[in-house]
Amino acid sequence: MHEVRDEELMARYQKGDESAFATLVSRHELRLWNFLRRYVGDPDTAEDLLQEVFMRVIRSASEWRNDAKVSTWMFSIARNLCTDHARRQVHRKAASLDATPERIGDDDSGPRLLDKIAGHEPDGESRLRDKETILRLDQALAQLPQEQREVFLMREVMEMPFAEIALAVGASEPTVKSRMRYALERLRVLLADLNDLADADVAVATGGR
Amino acid sequence: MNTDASPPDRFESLREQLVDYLYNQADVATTRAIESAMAESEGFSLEVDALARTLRISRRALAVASSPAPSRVRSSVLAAAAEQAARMRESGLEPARLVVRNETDDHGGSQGALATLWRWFSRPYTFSLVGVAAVFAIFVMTRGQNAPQLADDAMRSVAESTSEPAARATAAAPTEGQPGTEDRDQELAEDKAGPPAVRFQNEPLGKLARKSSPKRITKDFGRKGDALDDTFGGIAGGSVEAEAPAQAHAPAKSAPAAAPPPTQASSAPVGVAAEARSRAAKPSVIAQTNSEVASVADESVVQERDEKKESGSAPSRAELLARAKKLEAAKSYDEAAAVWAELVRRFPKDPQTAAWRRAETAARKVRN
Repeated sequence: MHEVRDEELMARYQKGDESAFATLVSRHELRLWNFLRRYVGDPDTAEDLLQEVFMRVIRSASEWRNDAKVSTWMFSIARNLCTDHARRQVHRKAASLDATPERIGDDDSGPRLLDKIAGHEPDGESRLRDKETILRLDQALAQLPQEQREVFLMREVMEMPFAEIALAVGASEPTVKSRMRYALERLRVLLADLNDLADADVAVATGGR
Repeated sequence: MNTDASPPDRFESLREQLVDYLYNQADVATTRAIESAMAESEGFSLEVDALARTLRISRRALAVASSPAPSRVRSSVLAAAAEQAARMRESGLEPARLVVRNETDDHGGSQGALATLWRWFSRPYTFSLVGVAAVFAIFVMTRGQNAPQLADDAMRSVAESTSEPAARATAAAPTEGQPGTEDRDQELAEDKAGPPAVRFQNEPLGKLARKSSPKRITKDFGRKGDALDDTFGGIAGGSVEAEAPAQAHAPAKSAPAAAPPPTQASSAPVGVAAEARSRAAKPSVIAQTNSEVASVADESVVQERDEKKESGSAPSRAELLARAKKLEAAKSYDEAAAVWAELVRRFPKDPQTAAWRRAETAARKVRN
């Protein structure tokens, strides 16, 4: 079945069709949310930023022209919001990015990310492994330089092609790929002790490389 | 299989392609080169394998950690979207005509700045503002450039009003060699007098006009020029009684007159014309004379001075007047006309000169 393109939905929304925008939200909110969640670490901040992304799209909808991809536009807004947020955090000397992983595992006050994850793994041992893996990944992502982190998350969470990432971050495609390689190399070091877990999972899930 | 004896930068060019290889975007040649290098170097092979494993670990963790967005965000966003949709329906926006506002421009460097400028200048109200500013700038610039020209114009008008009566008087005065002039001859002489303000255009006063403001120049010269016009207009009207208020100022206005143009009449050996030329050649003396004469309110003072100048062998003004009236009483109009002409010639600045000229004309008509 033919899926209506994002650009067509936006054009309809410009004419006052609010259901078209609802479709756009449904289509992109999951990736945007996970991107923001992984980028800033704090779920409350990510929630605020997600709302701000859509509000900016709404406010600028009347000025959008049908020669730019809606998804790239949205992801660019999200990325810019994250950049601004990180900049503010640096100025406030707040260690939210570093503190977030600890909060995930230690904070009992709010809803935990892992608690929201559906129990697709009936095995309790696997769930523990996932918890550990997610915690370690968040810690590792927090240690990446910003330009590497955003490229990694855009590619792995938002599933954006490198060409679109380059457009979103204002860099050339080779530069984006280079940042991606450096991100992977750093994550390899930071997640080296998880290789055994990964080997086990890979053996189960894909049967090896 | 080789160990890591190879230099570390040997695979650097291949590392640049590793991302494409891991994402299955490398071309065939690159893929073969990387796999060949992996077969050749165990270290490079382990390196590539570790990167691939890291990518798998990350993907798995991200997939597990993926969670739905908070529902309250969705509800609030959709409510705002509905309001905006209603506004856009009311305004009837046409998307194709609107300008993009791409968020990438916020961090897009020079291209983003150019795009922002282009958007800003492409809006109608911006053009209106720029247009108003341009018109205002042109107005200010034009005004500044016209100031010297305005000063010249003011000087020229002042010079005309100042020198024209004197030129008329000088040109109208019959010379000794002429048997007498008619009114028409007088008008022709006035026409021949030429533009009286030529001196002001090319000589130092012209430079002064460029340096000085029109207001100041008018302040210095304009009032006198107006008074001169009034004075000579009244005289030309033929009413001797009407001349009275202006008589006191008349010499003052005619005295600083510009040098008479080089016409035949002015070049005649007439003492008054020569005096006028000498005064025109000495601006400081002219100014002094102006102030002197302007302070004289009594006509008789001027007359006595003129008589004193003309004293000597020639008959005085009073004698000539008495003689002319005597001759008219004796109905010797031809001789009376000659005496009137002598009065006109010798006393061109006298307020009565116009009346004498009319008497001369009348006597000649009677004679004819």
